[in-house]
Amino acid sequence: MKKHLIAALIAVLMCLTALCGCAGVRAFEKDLQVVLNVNGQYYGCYTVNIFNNAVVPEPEPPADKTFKGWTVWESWTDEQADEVPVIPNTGLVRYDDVKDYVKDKNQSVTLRAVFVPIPKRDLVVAWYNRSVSGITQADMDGFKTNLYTYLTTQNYTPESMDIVIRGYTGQVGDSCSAIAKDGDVDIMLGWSSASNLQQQAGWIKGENYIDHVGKIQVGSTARYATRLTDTELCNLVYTWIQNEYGEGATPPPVNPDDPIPASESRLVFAWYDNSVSGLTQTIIDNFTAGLNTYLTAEGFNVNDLTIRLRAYGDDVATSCGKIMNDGDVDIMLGWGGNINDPLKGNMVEGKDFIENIGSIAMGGKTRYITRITDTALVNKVFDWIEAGNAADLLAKPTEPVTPPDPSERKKIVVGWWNNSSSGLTAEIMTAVETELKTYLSSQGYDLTNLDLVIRNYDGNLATTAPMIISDADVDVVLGYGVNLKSQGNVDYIDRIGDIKMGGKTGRYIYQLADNTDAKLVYDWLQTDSAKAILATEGV
Amino acid sequence: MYLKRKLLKAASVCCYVFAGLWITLAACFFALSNNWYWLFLIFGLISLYDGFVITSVREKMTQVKLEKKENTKLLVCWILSIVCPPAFILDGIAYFRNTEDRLVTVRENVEIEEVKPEKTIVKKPFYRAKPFITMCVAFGMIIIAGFTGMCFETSGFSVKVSDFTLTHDMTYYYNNGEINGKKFVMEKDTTYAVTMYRPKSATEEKPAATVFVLPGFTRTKATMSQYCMELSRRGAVVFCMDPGGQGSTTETSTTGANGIEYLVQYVYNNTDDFKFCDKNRFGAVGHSAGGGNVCTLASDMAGASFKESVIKSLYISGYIKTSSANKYKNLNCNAAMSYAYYDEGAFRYQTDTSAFEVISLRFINEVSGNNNGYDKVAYDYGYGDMSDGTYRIVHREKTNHCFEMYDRESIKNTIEFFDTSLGINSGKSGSNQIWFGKEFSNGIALAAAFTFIISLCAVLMKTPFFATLKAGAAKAKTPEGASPANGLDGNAGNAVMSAVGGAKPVSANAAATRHKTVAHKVIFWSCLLLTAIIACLDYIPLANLSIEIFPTGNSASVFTYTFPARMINAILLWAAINGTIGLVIFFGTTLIENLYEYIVFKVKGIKPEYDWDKFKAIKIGGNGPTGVVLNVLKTLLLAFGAFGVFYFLVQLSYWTFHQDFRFMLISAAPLNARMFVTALEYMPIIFIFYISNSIRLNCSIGREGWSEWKVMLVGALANSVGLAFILLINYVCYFTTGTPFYGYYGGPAGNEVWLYVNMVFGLVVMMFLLPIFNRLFYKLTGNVWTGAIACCMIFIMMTISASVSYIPMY
Repeated sequence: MKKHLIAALIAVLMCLTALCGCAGVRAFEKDLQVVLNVNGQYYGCYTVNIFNNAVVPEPEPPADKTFKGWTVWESWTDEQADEVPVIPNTGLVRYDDVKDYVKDKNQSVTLRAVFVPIPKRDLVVAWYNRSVSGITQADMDGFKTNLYTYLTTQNYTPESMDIVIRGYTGQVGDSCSAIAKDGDVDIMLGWSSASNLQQQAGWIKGENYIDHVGKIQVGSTARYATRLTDTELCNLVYTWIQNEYGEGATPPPVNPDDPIPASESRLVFAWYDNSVSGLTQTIIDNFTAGLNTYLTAEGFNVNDLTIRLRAYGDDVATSCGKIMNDGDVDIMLGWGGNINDPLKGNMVEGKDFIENIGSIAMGGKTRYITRITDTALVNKVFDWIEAGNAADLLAKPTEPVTPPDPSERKKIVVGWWNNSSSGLTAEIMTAVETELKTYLSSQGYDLTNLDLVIRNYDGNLATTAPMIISDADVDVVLGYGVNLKSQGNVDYIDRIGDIKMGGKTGRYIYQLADNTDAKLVYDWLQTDSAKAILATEGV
Repeated sequence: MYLKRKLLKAASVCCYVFAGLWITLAACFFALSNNWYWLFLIFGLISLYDGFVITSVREKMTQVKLEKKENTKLLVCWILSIVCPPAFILDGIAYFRNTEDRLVTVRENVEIEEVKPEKTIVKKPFYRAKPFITMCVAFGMIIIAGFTGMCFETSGFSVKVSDFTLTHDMTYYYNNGEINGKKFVMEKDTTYAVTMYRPKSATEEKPAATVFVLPGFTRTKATMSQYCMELSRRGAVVFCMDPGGQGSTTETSTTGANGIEYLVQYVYNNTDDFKFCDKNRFGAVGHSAGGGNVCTLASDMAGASFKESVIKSLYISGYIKTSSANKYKNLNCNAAMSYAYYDEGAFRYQTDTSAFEVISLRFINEVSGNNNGYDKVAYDYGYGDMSDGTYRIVHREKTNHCFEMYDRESIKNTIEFFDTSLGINSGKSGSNQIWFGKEFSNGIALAAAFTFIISLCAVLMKTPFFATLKAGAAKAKTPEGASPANGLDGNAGNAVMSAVGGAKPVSANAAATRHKTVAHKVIFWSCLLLTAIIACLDYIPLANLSIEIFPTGNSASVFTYTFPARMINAILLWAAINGTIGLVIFFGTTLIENLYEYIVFKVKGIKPEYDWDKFKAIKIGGNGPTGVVLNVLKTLLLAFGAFGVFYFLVQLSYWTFHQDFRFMLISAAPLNARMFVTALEYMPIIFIFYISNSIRLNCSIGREGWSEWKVMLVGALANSVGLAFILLINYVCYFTTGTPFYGYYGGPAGNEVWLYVNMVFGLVVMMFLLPIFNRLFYKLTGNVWTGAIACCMIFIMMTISASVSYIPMY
C-alpha cells in the first residue's frame, strides 16, 4: 500500500513537473529589441524573439546610392560598403539574424542601414526579360554586337569601357522598382507605353525618366525605349537605337519555323486533334473565323495580331510534352482534366499552365480549355470562350447524310436501360420508335428492309452492361449515366449527356457502333423533337 | 546489515532515476545539435549499470562486512556513482558502514508467520464472473458515453445532426446558373461526405446563417466537430465536409478548393432542401490546408462586391502561404485569420515575402482591391467595417499547429467572429463552450470499447471451444510432469517471502536465477535502450525515405492502389524495420546467452543452463497436429472477432447516437470501404512490429520474474519512450530556437517532414497501450498471437481512418 502511495505521489510530481515545464517554455522566448539606425539617426525600434519577426521599412537611399541591407557593424567606409555583411532580408528582421550580436546582458541590438554607392558605369542598358517584350538573350547579344560596332565608328573603345546590359524579370511594377533600386540604368528596352509605366510602376515622365519612344523593335515585337539619364554617351546611344531599331528600320529576320515569341499581340491556340476532343479542322476553321469577327468587334485589328491555331495529335502525354517544348502556346482547346496528372500530361499548375477549366462545349462533347499565358489579349479571349460565347463556333457541324442503299437490308439496334434510374419506360421508347421510323424514312431508309430493334436491358448497371457487351450489336443505347464506361466497361464512340429522360436528368445517349446508321440515329436523338419525347414524364 | 541494504537499495534507485535524467539530457543536447550529448549518454549508461552492480552487491550480502571481492565492487560503484550525486552519498555511507544493526538482533526473535492454506476456489456461474461483469459494465459505458456525446453534439437535442453524400448528380442538377461567372459541378462519379448541423431555430420562415467547415490535411470532418457544435448551438446551420482522399470522401484529387465549392454551390442553389439556410449569410472556416481552400472558395465566389459575394465571412486558420495571400485582394467579404503562436510550420516562412508578419500585414492591407497602407498589425484588433465586407482581424493564439483546433481561445475567436459578422448575435459568449463534453464522452467510449473486447476475450476463453487454446499453450510450454512456467498461471514472480532479514528466496527455476545476474540485466536493459534509441532516431529518416520510395502515393492528384496512404507509409517502414530489429535482438540475445552457457561449459565444465523456454510461448500448442491447426484457427477467429466486435461497437454507436470513439488525435471511426481496403494493404507488413512487441514483452520482459504491473509498465514505456523522445527532441529544439528539429530533412532543399512529427502525438499513446493489451491477451489466451493480430488490425484501422488515402475506389 505504502509503495503504491509513493508510486502515485511520484507520478503526480512528474506530471506537475511536466506541466510546469510546458509553462516554463516561455522562458526561452527572450525578447530582443532591435533598433534601426539610418545615417546615425534613430529610425525605429522593434521587438523580436524566436517566434516573432519584425517587418521593417526600407530607408530611402541618398542620391547616387542604393540600400544594401541592415548590418550590425558600427562603422565602415564607402569603400568597405560592399564587404559589409547584412542580414538576409531587407524588409524583415528575425531573431536568428541578430541573436549572436547581443552583448553581455543587453537585450538590444542596433542595426545600421548600409548604402552602397551606385557604381559609375559608362553605360547601362536594361532590357525586359519577359516574354511580352519579344526580346530574348540572343537578341540582346546581337544588340550588344551592333552597339559595339557603332561605338567604334564613333571613336569609342567599347571593349575597355564599363558597358553593362542587364535583364530584368517580373511584372512591370517589380522590374521598374528593381531598376530604381539599382539606380544606374541609363536606357531601358522592351517595356510598354508611358501610361503602362505610370499605371503599373507609378513612373512619371520628368520624374522617373526623361524620354520614352515607341515602335522600337529589338526582338520580335515593337516595344518602347526609355531614357533615364542625360549623359552624352546615353544620348548618343539612345538616338542610335531609334535609328537602328525604330520605325523604318529593318526588323531582324524571324525564322518562320521557330516558335512565335511572346507578345501582347500573340494568340496561339493548341487544339487537340484527337477523337476524344470532338474537335476537327472544320470546327477549328469555323472557330477561327468567328474569333476574328469577335476580335474585330472588340476593336482589335486582326492584321496586327499573330493568331495561330496549331493541331496536336497523339496521346495526352505526347501532346502536352510537345506543347511545353514549343513554349509559345497561349490557350489549349480540347484536352481533359488530366493534363496535370504526372502519368498523363505532367503539366504543373502555376508553372506550365495557369488554369484548366472544364465543362466547355465543343465538338459535341464537354472538354477543357487551358490558359497558359497571361496577356490581356489571351485573358480576354479565354474569358470569352469560358463564358460559352464561342459554343456555336465550336459546335459540331451538321454533316450531310448519305442516303442508304435501298437494296441492303439493315439492322439498327437501339438499346435502353430498363431501370428506374434511367427515367425511360416502354411507352416512351414506343414513341421514340415511331418517330425514329418516320425520321429514317425521311432519310431514304426502306422501312420494309429495315430491322429496327428497340431492346431493353433490365437490371442494374453491373448486370446489364455485360449484356450489352455480349450482344455486340447495339448501335445506340439510352438512359445510362456517365459511368457506363468507367463502371460498366462498355466502350463507346461518342456520348452526349445532360439529357432529361422521363423524370430523370443527367442521362446519357451513347453511340456504340461506328457506322453511318448509328451516327444518324445518335444525331437524331439529340434533336429537339427526340429530346421532347425522351423527356416525357408520367408515362 | 539491514540499514546497509536499505542504503544500497536507495542508491540503486537513485542511479536508475539519474540514468533516465542523463538520457533525457542527452536527448535535449542532441536536439540542440550539441555533441555533448554523447557524454550525457555515457553518464546515463554508467549510472544505469552502476545501479545493476549495486543491486547485485546488495542481493549477495549475507553480513554487514562484505567479502573482499564484493567490497571492491562496491568501491568501484561508489566512485562511478559520482554521476549520480545522491547515490554517491548513499554509497559512501554504505561503504564505510561495517557495524551490525541493532535491528537485526531484534528481528531474530520474531516468530515466523504460519502460511495459511489456500482457499478452495468455488466456480461461479459465468454471469457472475468478473470478465462478464466487466464486459457488461463496459458495454453500458459505451451506451452511456454515446448518449452523453450525442447530448453534447446536439446541444441538448436542439440541433439535428445528419450525414449526407454529395454526388455529381446533385451538383449537376442544382447547377442552374453560374455563381459569379463560374460553374461548380463535380466532374466525376466520386462523392463527398458531409455532416449537417441544423438547429431547430433554423426554419424556412427564419433562415439561419450558414457556415461551411473544412478540416486540413489528413483530418476528417469529425475533428472539426467542436466548431460545428459551438456554431450550431448558437443558431447557425453548419456543414462540415471530408476533403478529397480523407474520411469517407471518395474524390481523391485536391482539385479546386478541395471540393468545398461544390458543396457551397449545391446548398446555395438548392432552394428545395435548404430553405432554412440564409443565402445572404454564408460563412466558411478551414484549418491548415482547409484554411487555404476556404480562401480560394471565397475568392472564386467573390463577385464584384460584398453584396455579390456568396461568402460573406471567412475564417482562415493556420494557413499563410503566399499563393493564398495573393487572393486577399480578390476577397469581397469580412475575414479573419489566425495562426498559432507556436505553429511548427512557420519555419518555412522566414523571408520578407513569406513570413507571417508580412502575410498578416497584407491581410489587413489588401482589402477589396485596395491597399490600406497599415505598416503594423495589431493582433485581436478589428480593422475595417463589417457592413461593407472590409473587416479584418488577425489572431495568434498560444498553441501549436495540430492542437489549434482544440484550443479554447482559438475556438472562441472563431465563434465570436461569425457570431458578429454573420449577424447570429447568439448572446452566448465565445468562452461558453461545451464541445469538450463530447470529446470526453467519446474518449470514455473508446476506453470502454477496448475494455469490452478484452473482457469478451476473457469470457470466450472460459468456453470449452476456446479453452483449448490455453490448454494447448500450457502443453506447449510445459514438459510433461513439470510445473507451469512463469507468467502463465498468474503467479508470475510471486515467490513466497520470508520474514527473516528481508531476504528473498532463490527461485527454483535456473533461468530465473540467471535473470538476476548483472550480465543479464546489462544485456536486457541495453537492448531495451538500444531499440528505443533506434526507434527514436530512425522515424524521421524513414518518413523521408517513404516520400522517396512511394512518390505516387505521395502525390495528391494521382490515384494509386500501391500504398496510397501517404502519411502512413512512414509508419509502414518504421514498423517493419523496428519490428524486425526487435525480433533479431530477441532471438539474437537468447542465442548468444545460450551460446555463452555452452562456451562456459566447454571451458570450465560448469553444467550449462540453457533457456529455450522463452521460445515456447511463440508456439501454438494443441493435441496433435490437428489440435494445433484448430488452435491456430481459433486464435485467428478470436483476433478477427475482436476486431469485428470493436468496429461493430463503433458502428452501433454511430448508428444509434451518431458518435464514434475518439479523443482528440486518437480515433476509431466507422469503417468505409476505401479505408478498409487501404488498411488491409498495410496490416500484413506492420504486423511485424506488433508480433515483435508481443514476443518481446511476453517471452522476455514477462519472464523477468516481476509483478504484472511492472511487466506492463516496463513494456509500455519501452515501446513508447522512443517516440516520446522524438517529441522531446523536436520541441526542445523548437522552444529554444524557434525552429523544429525535424523541419526539412537534410536542410532547406530536403523534404518537409514536420507533419510526420505531428502524427507522433497520437502514436505515442497507442504504442504505450499496445504492450498492455498484448500482455492482457497473452495472459488470457496463453499465446502471443491473439493480441498482436487483434491490436494490429484495430490500431492500423484507426490510424488509416484518421489519415488520407489516394486509393481509386468510389
